[in-house]
Amino acid sequence: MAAAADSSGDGGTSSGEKTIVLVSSDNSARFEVREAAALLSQTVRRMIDEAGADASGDGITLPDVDAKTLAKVLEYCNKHAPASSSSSAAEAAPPAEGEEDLERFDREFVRVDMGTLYSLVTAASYLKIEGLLNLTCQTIADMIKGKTPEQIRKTLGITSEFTPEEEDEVRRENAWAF
Amino acid sequence: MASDAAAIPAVPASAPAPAKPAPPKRRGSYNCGRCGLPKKGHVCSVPGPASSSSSAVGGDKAGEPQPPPQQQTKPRRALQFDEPASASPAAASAVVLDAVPLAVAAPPPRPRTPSQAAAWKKKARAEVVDVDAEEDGDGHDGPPLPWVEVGAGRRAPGEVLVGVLQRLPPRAVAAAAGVSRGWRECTRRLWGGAEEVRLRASGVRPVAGLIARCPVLAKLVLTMDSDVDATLLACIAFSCPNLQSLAINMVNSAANRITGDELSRFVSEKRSLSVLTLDGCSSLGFLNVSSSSLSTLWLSGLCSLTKAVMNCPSLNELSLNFPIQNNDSTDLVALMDSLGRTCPNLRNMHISSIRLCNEAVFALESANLRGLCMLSFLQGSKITDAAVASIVRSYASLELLDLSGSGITDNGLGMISNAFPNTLTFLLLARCPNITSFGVQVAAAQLPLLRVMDCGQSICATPQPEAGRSYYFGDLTGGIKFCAKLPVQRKQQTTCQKLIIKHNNLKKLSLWGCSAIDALYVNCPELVDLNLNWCTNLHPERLLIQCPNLKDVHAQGCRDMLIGAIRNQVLNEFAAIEPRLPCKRLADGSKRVHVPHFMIEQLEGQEKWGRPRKSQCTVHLT
Repeated sequence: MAAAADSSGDGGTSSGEKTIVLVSSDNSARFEVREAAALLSQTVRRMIDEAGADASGDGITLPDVDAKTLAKVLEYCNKHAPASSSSSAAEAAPPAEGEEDLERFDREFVRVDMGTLYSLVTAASYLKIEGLLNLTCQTIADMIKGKTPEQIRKTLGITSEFTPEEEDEVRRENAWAF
Repeated sequence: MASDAAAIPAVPASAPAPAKPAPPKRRGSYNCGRCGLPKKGHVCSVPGPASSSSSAVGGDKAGEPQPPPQQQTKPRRALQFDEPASASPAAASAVVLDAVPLAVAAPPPRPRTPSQAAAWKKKARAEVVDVDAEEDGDGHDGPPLPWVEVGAGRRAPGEVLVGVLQRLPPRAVAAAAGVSRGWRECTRRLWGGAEEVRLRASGVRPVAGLIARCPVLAKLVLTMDSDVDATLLACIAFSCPNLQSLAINMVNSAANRITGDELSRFVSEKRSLSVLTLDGCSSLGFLNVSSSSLSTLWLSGLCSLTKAVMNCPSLNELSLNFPIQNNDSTDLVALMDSLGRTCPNLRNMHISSIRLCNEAVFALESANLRGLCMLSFLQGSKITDAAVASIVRSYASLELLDLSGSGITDNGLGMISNAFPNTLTFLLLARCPNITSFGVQVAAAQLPLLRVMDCGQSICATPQPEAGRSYYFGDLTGGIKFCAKLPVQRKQQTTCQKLIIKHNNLKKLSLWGCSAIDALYVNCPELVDLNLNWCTNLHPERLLIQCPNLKDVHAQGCRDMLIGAIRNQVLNEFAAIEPRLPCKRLADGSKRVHVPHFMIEQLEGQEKWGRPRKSQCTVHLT
């Protein structure tokens, strides 16, 4: 992968592929990724724009994403990154994967425990990575679909603090659907 | 409107249609025995007893069998098109692909409805079909949502949960509301942001309950399977201050009891309403709509209107659909007249009514709607070439012209072909009994931008009394002597018409019910859909289809040999070693192969192709 080949930290390497360094919240891990992959995140994109051209030297710290989650997120980004970086002309980057390949990857990607899934969806929301957000939200939505409130609580492990009066009220409010 | 275009085809399929037998042939295509012009709506100037013309017209109406109800599904077709921007012909042609086969369904579509209704009834009484909550990019209107417990002892920002809920069907969202306080808050935020809701309900209460939670609702699509009256309008008016688009569809014979008065009041009070679709408008009685914001108005199921005034300067698209009934006394001439004065920006017009006539078209001409680009006048059997002349004079750049069910002839078709070669992309002339294959060929030759052409049941073999008498005149006027039919009339009713269509852009060609065609050659490189349903006289050996991109061929009601020939042509297109040539059976019974000149080059080119190409065409038999 081109990312691994670029061991030097700053952009404009011999392969012509710019890379960006992202740092997790606890500062415990630094990840170097292709620009195209990192720019899948609108938040990162905005941070780069604001910080200027030399931000990539130090690395961009993401205060709300821990190392484990960031690693997984970047796994997604690397896979889904476009063939060429959007900000410059097409470089000799790995070609975009086939549709089926991506779908298979996505399905496997979300087969994780609920905790990780929630971390992913939160991270995707913070980083504003549309594809990942769609994927994770849809996965959770599919778990909820077609269930009654009690079933949802049971599946996800949530306790309800409703008083009986509140429960009645909710039921009445949503009577139109049942 | 694109989403409308996608959604609406579903509705006609479930709209109830009275059970009718297979489409009866229209008998009203005889020509006047005295002057040879088409008799429909024709007052003969050749001297003769005055009573004969009026009784002929009366007899015409009485004798004319009701055109099958399938026509009622057709009017929807034109309405599904977007603004005639560059994108629309592709979208529109995709939509027409759905609509025309619906019209073809000779067995009435009724059997589908009860089973669909049964399926629906099993579910909840109010089934919300779709909700789109469109949140603005970053910020929400309200304060940021608190973190909610999402399970596994974890908490996540409320916005994340809203993102999940957005992807759920509304019943699931309602269930989610009962999970915990935090979740309830999120669902409230979701509803609060909902801008578009599609809901199927029986009664006002479920609708009221839902839309009360959606204060920013902009688009509401209701499918009602119980009676509807002004209380529904009142509740919508109350709950949705910013409503821009409202559609009320009636299914399962539910009645729409909204009166003209109530509708007028609703429209004038809703200052933001720009799109209004109402179905089953049988109780309106009159139409007096006054709105500066209304840009699209679709009313269907209309009964006789005593007055029709539309004071809507922004109106872009108007569709009025009067199903067939005998007591319709709507004055369409006055309607057209007033349209010119009050709706100068009209671009798409669609009227379906048996009362359409030349005078109405002339009245519209004086309106000077130069911006009109889609025009549909359906079921106007009294419309003749004179109306076509008026249309050709008045509009510089029509993109869609639909005169299905009219009495225009090849002359009219010629006028159309001369007038709009640079703009016309949709030409729909189903059930025009006075059109022959000659006119169709001229149109195809002179309209290079054409993408969709529908000649369904137009090139029809009408039942002919062999003696050449027009028996209407004979029977009604007693002793009148009428002259034998002129030769020109015979051509119109000949049952052996050959149709050759070569066109570079045509995507969809419909010849359903064209029983007068016995030979067909279609060479259209872009053709995607070919409808040959009920082409009962098409000879299997006089069929040549050279359309490499053909995806769908419809051959319902065709004889087995023809179906075999079709299959052979479209499925083995380039594998055939011997290309099939149209041949002609001579009077002595022998067969001669007759190859027109232009075909020789085509066939030679074809033989140069080495490898056979796998065709992806489907032949539909139902």
